[in-house]
Amino acid sequence: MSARERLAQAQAELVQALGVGAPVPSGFDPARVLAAAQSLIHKRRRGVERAWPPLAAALGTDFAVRFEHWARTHPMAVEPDALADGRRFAASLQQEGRLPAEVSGVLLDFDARWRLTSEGERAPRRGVWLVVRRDDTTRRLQVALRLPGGRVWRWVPKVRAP
Amino acid sequence: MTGLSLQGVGIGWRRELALFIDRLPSPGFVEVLAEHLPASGAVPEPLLRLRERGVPVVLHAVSLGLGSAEPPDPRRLDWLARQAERVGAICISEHLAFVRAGGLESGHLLPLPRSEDALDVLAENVLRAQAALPVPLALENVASLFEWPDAAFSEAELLAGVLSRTQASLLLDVANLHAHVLNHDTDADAVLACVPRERLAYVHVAGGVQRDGLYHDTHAHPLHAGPLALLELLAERLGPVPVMLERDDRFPAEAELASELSAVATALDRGASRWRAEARR
Repeated sequence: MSARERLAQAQAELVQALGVGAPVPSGFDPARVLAAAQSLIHKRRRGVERAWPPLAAALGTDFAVRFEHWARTHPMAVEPDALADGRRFAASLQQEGRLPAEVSGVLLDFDARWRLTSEGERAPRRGVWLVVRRDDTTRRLQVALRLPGGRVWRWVPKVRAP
Repeated sequence: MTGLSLQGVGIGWRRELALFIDRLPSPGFVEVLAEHLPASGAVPEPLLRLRERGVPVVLHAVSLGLGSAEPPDPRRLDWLARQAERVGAICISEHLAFVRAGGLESGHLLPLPRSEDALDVLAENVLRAQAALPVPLALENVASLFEWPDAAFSEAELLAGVLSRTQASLLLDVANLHAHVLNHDTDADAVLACVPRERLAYVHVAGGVQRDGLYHDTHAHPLHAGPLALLELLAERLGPVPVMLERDDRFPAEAELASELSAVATALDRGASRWRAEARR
């Protein structure tokens, strides 16, 4: 094995331990590696909190727990990007039926401006793009229209107080 | 590489600090994060204004992974070179770290094993990066909560090793050094002693927090006395060195930031005046 091959293997084992909770490679202090893993996930959560303030606010104290739970099983395979990371997290909440209704507007906005590639990277949309969907909670239609040049026109009926 | 033309006390440029930095009478220099610049289109207006004022710009990157087992990706190097040209950077800095392996992104700078294998790979990666970048490259020591087992040499020897095998200069982060003193008993004096002035590009200081017996280099908490003391020792050894404050999150009131900048200037002056006194003797 070359120096690069040996290093690649050692680094991959460490990143697996840090990112997805694989066993800590031998010789490392497990408590320290765990502390580092926690700090990485905290940094990732803080990034999403800053990139998606309405999502963090709507989930309140649940945000940290839910995000960290999700993040542990969804490591980052592409360049870290808090906007894309937050969108993927929101999609998982939606699948579980736990997406707060207040967030649908900003999600619509995001989806009119960006798409996530199959690798999970965020790519800008071009030209005219229309997003139409029915909100899970309110059952009302929501519309966002991206205009050439990048402006987004959005129509989201207000959530009525119960 | 000989010393860059950086001097004085600078600050890491962030959008949230743009107005504060705009109002600073004479920032020594600013450092811009390559990953935070828009991928295309116009450079943010406040940065252009700083350039017009003659404030030198350094480009700082976190995604190259110079300590990775793989050689730096030519597309990343291209992108970084273009970013440097867009902002008119006089220098690019990156870390002595790796950030991805085995198909996963760690999301942060991870420390390197201190082994001959890792040093060989690192030096070769740095040489490749230098060949592809339009301006000098400076390498920064990182902070970590853990160390690799079976280190073959010390942190000072790792820094000296990479300096001797490449033409890169060093970006010495005294907050990261402080973290390693507390977390790993690193010999700070040995690290400070391994940096010749002509190979030192500039210095970072930043705030952090101590939690459960570990020092976390957060850039989101107030500046501690420890990094300032190390800065003072460095200036006592080398004379006035260019230094800058990094703040990335939980931005404080302007008065607090201004007082941190003046604490940095004071530490630098105290060290440099002892250096001058020593030179006169």
